[in-house]
Amino acid sequence: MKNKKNDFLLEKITEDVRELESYIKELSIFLPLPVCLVTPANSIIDINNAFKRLSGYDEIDIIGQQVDFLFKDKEKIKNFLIELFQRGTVKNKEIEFIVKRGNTIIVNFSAALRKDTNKNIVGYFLALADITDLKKLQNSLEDKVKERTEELEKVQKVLVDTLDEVKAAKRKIEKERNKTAAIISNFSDPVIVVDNEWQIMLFNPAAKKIFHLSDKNLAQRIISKDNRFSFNDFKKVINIDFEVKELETDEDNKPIIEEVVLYSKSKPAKDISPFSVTTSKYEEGDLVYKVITVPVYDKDICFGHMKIFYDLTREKMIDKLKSEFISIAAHQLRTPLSAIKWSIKMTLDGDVGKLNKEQKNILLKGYASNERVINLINDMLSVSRIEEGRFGYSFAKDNFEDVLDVILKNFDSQIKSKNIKFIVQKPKKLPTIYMDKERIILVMQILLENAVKYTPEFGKIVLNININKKLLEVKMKDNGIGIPQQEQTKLFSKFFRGTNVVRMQAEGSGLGLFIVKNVIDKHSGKTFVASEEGKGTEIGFTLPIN
Amino acid sequence: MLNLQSIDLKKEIQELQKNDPGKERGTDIKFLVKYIRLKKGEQGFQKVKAKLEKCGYKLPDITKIDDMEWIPSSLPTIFMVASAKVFHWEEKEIIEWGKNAAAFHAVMRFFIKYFVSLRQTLKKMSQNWRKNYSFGDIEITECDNKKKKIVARLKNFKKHPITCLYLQGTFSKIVEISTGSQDVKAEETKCMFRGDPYHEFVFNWE
Repeated sequence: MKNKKNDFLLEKITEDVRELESYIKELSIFLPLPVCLVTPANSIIDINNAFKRLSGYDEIDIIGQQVDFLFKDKEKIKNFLIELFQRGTVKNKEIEFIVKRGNTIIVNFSAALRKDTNKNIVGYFLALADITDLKKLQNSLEDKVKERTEELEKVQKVLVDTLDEVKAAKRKIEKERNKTAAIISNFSDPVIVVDNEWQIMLFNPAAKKIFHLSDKNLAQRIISKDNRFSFNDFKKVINIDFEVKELETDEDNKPIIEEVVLYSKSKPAKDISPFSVTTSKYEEGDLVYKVITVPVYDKDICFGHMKIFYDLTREKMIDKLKSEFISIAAHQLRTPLSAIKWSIKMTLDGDVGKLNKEQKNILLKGYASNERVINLINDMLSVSRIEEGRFGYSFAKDNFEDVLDVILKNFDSQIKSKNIKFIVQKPKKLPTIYMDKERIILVMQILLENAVKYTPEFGKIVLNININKKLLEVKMKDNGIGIPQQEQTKLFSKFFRGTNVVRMQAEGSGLGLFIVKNVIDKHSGKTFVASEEGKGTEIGFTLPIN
Repeated sequence: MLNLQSIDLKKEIQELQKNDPGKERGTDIKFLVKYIRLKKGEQGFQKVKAKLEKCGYKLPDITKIDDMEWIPSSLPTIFMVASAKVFHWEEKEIIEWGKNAAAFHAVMRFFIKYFVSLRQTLKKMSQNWRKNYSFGDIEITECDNKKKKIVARLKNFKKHPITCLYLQGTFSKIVEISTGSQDVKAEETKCMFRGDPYHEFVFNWE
């Protein structure tokens, strides 16, 4: 009975052991983590399937082997094991694991001591986690980081180099700017530079002194935005009384050359005719400048305009003195010349007795010479009055037909005496013009007189009058001696006479066209000339109809 | 010196069956077959099987043998002798076979996990001997860690000289595992097949 019971118990225990072994086997097969069991003497006594797969070793190769044979760094594994026996566990220590093929892989080494019920160490479990892929990824990432770092370092270097280059360029620009500023600063003539935002960006000490400019609030010094870059626009920012006369404009009607008079004393407001062109009247103490406006380019980009002021005060003063001298001289000469004129006239008329033919011829020549001198004196006085602003004008609405009638009547005999073919081309009806009729007659006289004078006998003069939009255009074309090309720009200057005219010793003061220009300017018209030496001249003017 | 090549296998089988000393666990033959398959492949195993059949011995279906099942002790011995003869194995190969028993032998592995120290290992081994074999006893006559020497006697265990070599390998491996030494020298100083009253194995290690 007892034996039967023992046999039953033995059978039961055997069955339990089998089930336990089966359970351990299944667990060992299933467990994905490579694990081996090691004795306290570091001999491997069991491995699971995952360990076999990882290492490539079979039990034959590994059971009984010392655990360190699996690892490349013997010293490192030794230290891990010391730590294991001291602390009881070691977790996730990275180490190179030697697989059966001989190569190594990176694993995370973890181990935990096994103890029996009496707390005696009976060995330890060793678990390995293959982190090769992770390591590869890490290395790849590190490589990428390194690569990117190198790239960034290169970029940084390039940027630093670029920055250095920019700094060098900036220094160069600064140097150039300083140089330019120094040149402008040391320039004895005033200079003002305005940028494209219509703001004064630079002025030199000479400009500062004359226009009382200060460096303060320079940025706020914005001149008129609807300007033509005329110096008139500066009136908003320069607190001095001055007057501007535009001497030359470009295709866009922007002034290129202006004359500026800075008054030493404030002038009372003037009643200016809508057709008036400002004429500088200056007194002692006033400053006169010729202002040249030039665009400022950096390569092809225009970044502003520069106004350069040339001091003409001294020249103007001399000119004024000269004009005053001429005026006085002319006045002083005119009275005795008139007396001479009338004395000769009376003598020629026989008021003092009958003259023989020879006496009469001599007196006639004297009369003509005296007349020429009187004309010259009159021209000089006209010029003098123009320059002094005393060339009085009397504007009124008059028909241009009246002007034409006077001229044709006055010149009829002269034209006929030279057998010149004179043709008048005009519309049937000529307009009424707001003008000083006498001054316009004077202009027409000067032009026709010149044409007759410089056209040979049996020549041809064509007077062409056109109405072009809002302008009356008058052109006088002859086939006379013409004007040399290089001298045409000076044609309207005071006392100018063409070299070919001087050679032929023709009479003339060189003041006629100066008077023409001033009269037409005063009427807000334009003068023009086209000529070819030896072939003829076309000269004329325009007048606004309204 | 074991010389298996000159023996008549058929006679040897008959002799072993006739003088079968007892029984042992099925795990023994299972390990031996597994080892041959590992070393020589399925073809190698079939060669052994065919050799045995030629000698009139039919090898049972190993898969049907349970690890803890008691089987005639002659079965593993006959398989070992036949294998050694087929593959011309000598002492070295047999000892190596025994060493690997520690790695594969289910019972050995089961107990080996409790081999904490050399002395305890040997004690466990002697205690558990009869759990694997129905005959034979182990006696540890000397166990000196300082001298690094063990003397073990196996009594009442007369199977076949090939078994002496096999066990020498197994014991060596157990000493290796227990001591952590990779240099264990083993010698069978006494053998029942040489007329001694028991088998005596002496182990030294570095």
